[in-house]
Amino acid sequence: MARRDEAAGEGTAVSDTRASAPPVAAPGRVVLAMEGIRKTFPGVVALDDVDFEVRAGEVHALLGENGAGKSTLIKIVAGLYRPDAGVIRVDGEPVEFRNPADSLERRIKVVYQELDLVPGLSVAENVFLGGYPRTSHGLVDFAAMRRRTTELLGELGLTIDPDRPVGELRVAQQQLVEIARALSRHAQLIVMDEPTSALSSGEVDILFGVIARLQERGVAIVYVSHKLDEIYRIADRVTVFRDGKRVVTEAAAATTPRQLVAWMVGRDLQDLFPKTAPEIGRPLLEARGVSGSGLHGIDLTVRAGEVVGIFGLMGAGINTVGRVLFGASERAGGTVALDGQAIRPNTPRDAIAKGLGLLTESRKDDGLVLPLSVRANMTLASLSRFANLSWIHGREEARAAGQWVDRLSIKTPSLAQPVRYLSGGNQQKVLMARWLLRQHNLKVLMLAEPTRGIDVGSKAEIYRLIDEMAHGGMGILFMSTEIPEILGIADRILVMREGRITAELTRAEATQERLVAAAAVGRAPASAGVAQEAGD
Amino acid sequence: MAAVQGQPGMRAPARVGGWRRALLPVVRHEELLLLLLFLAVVAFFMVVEPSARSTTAYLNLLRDISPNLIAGVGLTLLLLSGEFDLSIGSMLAFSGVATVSVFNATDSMWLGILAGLLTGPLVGAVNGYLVCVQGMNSLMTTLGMMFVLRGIVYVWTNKTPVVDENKFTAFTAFYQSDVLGVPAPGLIALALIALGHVMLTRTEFGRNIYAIGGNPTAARVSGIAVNRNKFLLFVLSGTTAAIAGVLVASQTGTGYFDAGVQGFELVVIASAVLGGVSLNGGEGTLVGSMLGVLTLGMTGKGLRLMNVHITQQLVVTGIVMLIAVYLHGVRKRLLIESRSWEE
Repeated sequence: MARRDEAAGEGTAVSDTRASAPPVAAPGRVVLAMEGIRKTFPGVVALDDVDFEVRAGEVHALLGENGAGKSTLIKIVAGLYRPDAGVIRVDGEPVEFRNPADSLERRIKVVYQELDLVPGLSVAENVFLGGYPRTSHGLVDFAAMRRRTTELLGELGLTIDPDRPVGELRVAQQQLVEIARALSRHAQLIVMDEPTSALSSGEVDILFGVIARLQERGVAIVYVSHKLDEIYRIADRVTVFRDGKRVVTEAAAATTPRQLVAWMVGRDLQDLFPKTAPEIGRPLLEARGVSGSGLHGIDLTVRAGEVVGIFGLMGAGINTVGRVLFGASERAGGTVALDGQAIRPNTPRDAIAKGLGLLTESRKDDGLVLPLSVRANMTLASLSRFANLSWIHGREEARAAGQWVDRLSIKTPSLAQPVRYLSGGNQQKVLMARWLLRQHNLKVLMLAEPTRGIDVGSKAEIYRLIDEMAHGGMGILFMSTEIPEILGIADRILVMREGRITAELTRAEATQERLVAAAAVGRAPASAGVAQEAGD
Repeated sequence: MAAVQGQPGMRAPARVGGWRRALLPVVRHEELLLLLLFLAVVAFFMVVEPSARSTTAYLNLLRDISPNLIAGVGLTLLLLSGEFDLSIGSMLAFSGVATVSVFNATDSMWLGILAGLLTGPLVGAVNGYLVCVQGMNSLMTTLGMMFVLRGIVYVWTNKTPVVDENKFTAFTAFYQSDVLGVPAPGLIALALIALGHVMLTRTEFGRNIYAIGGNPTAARVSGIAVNRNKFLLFVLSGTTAAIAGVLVASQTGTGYFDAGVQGFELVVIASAVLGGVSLNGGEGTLVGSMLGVLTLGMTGKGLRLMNVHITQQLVVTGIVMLIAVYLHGVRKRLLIESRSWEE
């Protein structure tokens, strides 16, 4: 195939990466310009007459709620979608991206949340995938490949063994391999789609270091994120999307967080954390000496009306607590009781029957049933509510599901849409709705990272719902790696490190510094996490 | 400089190109695509073969194909939950031989039919126990069961057909009878299909089948009794296979040791997949699966009417299957284009 030949050609071109200085555009030059871009899908205008430009050496942040059009724009840049109207220029030349190869050819690389690496291949093989350097005999030149991979990673300030299978690396390291791969193809524009959603704070620092180096080389970065603090740390300019339109493009330094949120949401968001004074009652969920699945001696109590937060860095095991208490992961020892009734280990069915709920942290693995409709996914844990002797009353079910679609502003053409076709944020809302639909049978609801990938407006709605449920007498166990939300909604915070609870702070005591200190005590300096070989 | 644009406008429905718009219903509803394929096969044979133009030919098709339809009901539900049952071909022989053997042993037709039907849930329960309780792989478990049952039947019958010594004419007459002009076995099949369809689309059990097949862990953490449901489905699959087996025995009042030996289970699985049932579970419909059975059945029937040699029949049947799989791929692509709507 022609494409393969091109790729091979590129592979040989790569051989002089080091010798000739990387050919990048002069700083400030417009690398990518999109004018009047329009893209529609049945029932929705995803992008409506959008202009967007990126300059060499800048970090251009892309902001917007779920369904605002960011992902569609990225997919057009990546060559996955073709716009219905509009012009795309790269280096001033009009181009047409018919497929991802066309986009790569123009030295544009998109790093998605779900990385497209081959887990079984080594780091070096992944970096040069599709364009292996050849020896004079036409065989793959593994030695050169290893050498150049080390060089490329070195330019990014990283030392990752080029021979290690990518599958053994942590997500953060995999992401950096993906970026090295972009460099091996002389990328002049790298798009990063929520790159920090699975990174610890130390890993985020390393990524930002890499981004700074890329900037120095004149590479343009489009950075998609929901996290405003990150945007203020690295972005030169921000563009905000809402409902398929570009609302504003502005120098990041000239904006305030409140302004950005208002642009995204379309109104002034008064209070992100509508926390009301709790009325704490009797103990509901009691865990004593729980171990297994990497946890050690977990003791915790959640009382009626109380929101207990569990905070820890990525890998501390905070989400495992919910899984083990619920029975989704193995419990080796200890007891769990809900309102005085013992909960059997390893049987989620028993936990649910007794009034415990768990919103799992992983959408695709144990959350969504992808081929099923939005409606069926929502009512999965509460179907018996709508069924009489197994017979489902479709109308009642649809009405109940429809209410939550409206309240959580889930963007879907219909209730019958397979959940597979929803965006990540909207899928997360569907899962949230699954437990909201069951809230009347719940005594305690455990939520693992419930707002991951969700836009600000819906986050506020979810925090409000959590507060409301707690006020109704439910106990909430809220597991999160995001400090602001933990501080914002929890009455009491447990901090975890390496599978153990290391600190307990009341709402009054808790500060960002204390949480970080408690979570990181005894850990190696954060920078060691990614750059060096990580033990786990 | 801030360049603030106006408020978001109304969202206009998107335009889809002419021929694609015409195809949209077919793209959305898999069953329609299969129906068209089935009708295309019918139309082809009507053109080339005069004897394929009579209503009787189609009523006979329904009669001939009824064992596949019936066994297909239970198997489809099981496939949708993400499991396999390869033992249904051997079940066909096992239940048929059991039926006629009990005829001869007890001189009672009803006891014989009852015995034949009971083999289904019995064997299904064993399969279900091994897979759901012992955690064995269903493909290998039921493959083993396929050999075990076939072996039992061979030893039991000494590889000779078991003939009904009482000559229960009611038994054989039933297979040939018509009710309101429709073959009786076909009616049983249609009734089971209707029942299965309603169960799948309107009940909690049906919804759970899709959830289990689509994502067993998600089903488990949502409180669905995954193994209990799967166990029931194995029992169901065995039962419908046994009903089919009793019907096959009633064709001539004989228990055939080699009934279903020519890959009955594979034909039924292939028909289901041709009908859009995913081998991974969670996707597909019973109606689609049954249309798959009919399409393959019609192809075979038409070729027999044309007196095409059995070996050539295989070639054509294979081609029809490949066409169906190809059309599925095309449909999927169009579906993604028309539906994909992320963020």
